[in-house]
Amino acid sequence: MTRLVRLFAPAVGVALGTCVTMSSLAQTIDLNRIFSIGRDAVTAVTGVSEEEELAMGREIAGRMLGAAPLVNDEELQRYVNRVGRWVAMQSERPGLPWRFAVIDTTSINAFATPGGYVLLTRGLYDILDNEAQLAGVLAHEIGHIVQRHHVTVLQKSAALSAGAQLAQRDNRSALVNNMIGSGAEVFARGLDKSAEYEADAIGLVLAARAGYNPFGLIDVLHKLAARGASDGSLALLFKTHPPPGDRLEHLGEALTPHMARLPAGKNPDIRVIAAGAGPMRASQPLPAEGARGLTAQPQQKPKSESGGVDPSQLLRGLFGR
Amino acid sequence: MQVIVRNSIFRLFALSLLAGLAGSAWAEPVTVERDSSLFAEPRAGAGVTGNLAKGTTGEAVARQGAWVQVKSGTMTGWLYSFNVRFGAVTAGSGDGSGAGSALGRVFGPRQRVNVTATIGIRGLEEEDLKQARFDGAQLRTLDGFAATPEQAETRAGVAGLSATTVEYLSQPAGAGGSTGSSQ
Repeated sequence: MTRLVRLFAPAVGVALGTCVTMSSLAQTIDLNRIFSIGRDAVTAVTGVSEEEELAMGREIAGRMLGAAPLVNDEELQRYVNRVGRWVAMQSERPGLPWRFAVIDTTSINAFATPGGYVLLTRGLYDILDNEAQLAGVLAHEIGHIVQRHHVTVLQKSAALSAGAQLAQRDNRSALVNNMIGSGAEVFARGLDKSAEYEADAIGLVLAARAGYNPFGLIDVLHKLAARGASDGSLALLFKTHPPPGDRLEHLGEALTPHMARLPAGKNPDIRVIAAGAGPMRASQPLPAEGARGLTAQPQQKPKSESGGVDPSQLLRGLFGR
Repeated sequence: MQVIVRNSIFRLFALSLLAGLAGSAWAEPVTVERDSSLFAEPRAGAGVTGNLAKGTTGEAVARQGAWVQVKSGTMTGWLYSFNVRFGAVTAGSGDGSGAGSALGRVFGPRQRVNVTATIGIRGLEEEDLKQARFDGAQLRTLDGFAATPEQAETRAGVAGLSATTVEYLSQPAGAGGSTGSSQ
């Protein structure tokens, strides 16, 4: 028990704000410096406040929807939101404004953006056999969000271009765009392998907590492994993730000592996409506005003459100064 | 033209074959990925009926939760599904071209096949991600589909799901130092 709590302390510690770990999330941050300026514990670990995280996530999610729109099946979208929210409620960040969606592309993939957006491709949805598998996939993405994996990537990429950040400190839109990069390219870069393994292990447990057969995610990994890297619909997923066989191996190692205590769980039927449903036509693309999410929550804004987030505060958030 | 027709017939045959596998007679080629004990029943405390070395091939004949029942030579028994890989072993396996790969794609009984879903939609390329432009209307539409915790809980109840306590797994040795220290 002690071992279990200790080894996955990052997930719990971040959420409860009770401890700081030496996980990869914190490797580039000077913790003493952050604490010295009195930032909250979440910011201490990632260098980015939750408000900033939500704004970045909404921007990236909006861009992903610009690349692949929602599948035009409202009942499906509501269904996926209910399933996803239920799984997210079992995590350490149940109160995020969670959003789940099926997007209209044949590619087999799923994306998590900071702050609670999970976008699942139609290609992936179509190979799922039951709701436990859906829950497993969503829970993997929820794991990324709970652990703020993408925030870390964005923060690192921003740190690499610190000079440009400083030059743009009076232009918060350019600043945030610089941090996010162009479009949704953060998903083309991918995460560290260790982040994927961690999200798998978290995802399996979250699905189990929600009452599902814990092995739905393993079923999906088997499907991906059997398709192989040369399956065109999997090209991006294979580029940005460890091979599914390696993920199965890591998950198996983590899982084997605990098999006896995992509940059997359930495999409810999955909702089928409405026949003939194409892309949802709700869109009138807008130009990218990096800071729009930051200005959308005036009740939380720090003091700033220009309204929204003060760029210098955002810089402090990014670099811990 | 003849070739196309023959291909179609072959595909129909293949689909029939796959449909047959979804029944009780399901069997699928497997390769053992890690030295594994075979258990008499799908539970860790069951008696060991034999051992399969890494690389051993066989047939998966049944599944139950995380367990798969494998028949290899004269031995039959249960092992964890994550210790095997499905599909026939071929050079460059996973290329999606052989019958083994097709079988691998099935991986167990499917409850449904959605044949209308992927017509006319192209995949998401890396360049699409880089060029992606913010779509506020789509995002606001998505906001309208969000579920409240109460809606999620109600729906879970309808599906017969109830929340349960499960500890996080320990990480495998060497997978990263999460030492944990209080501030």
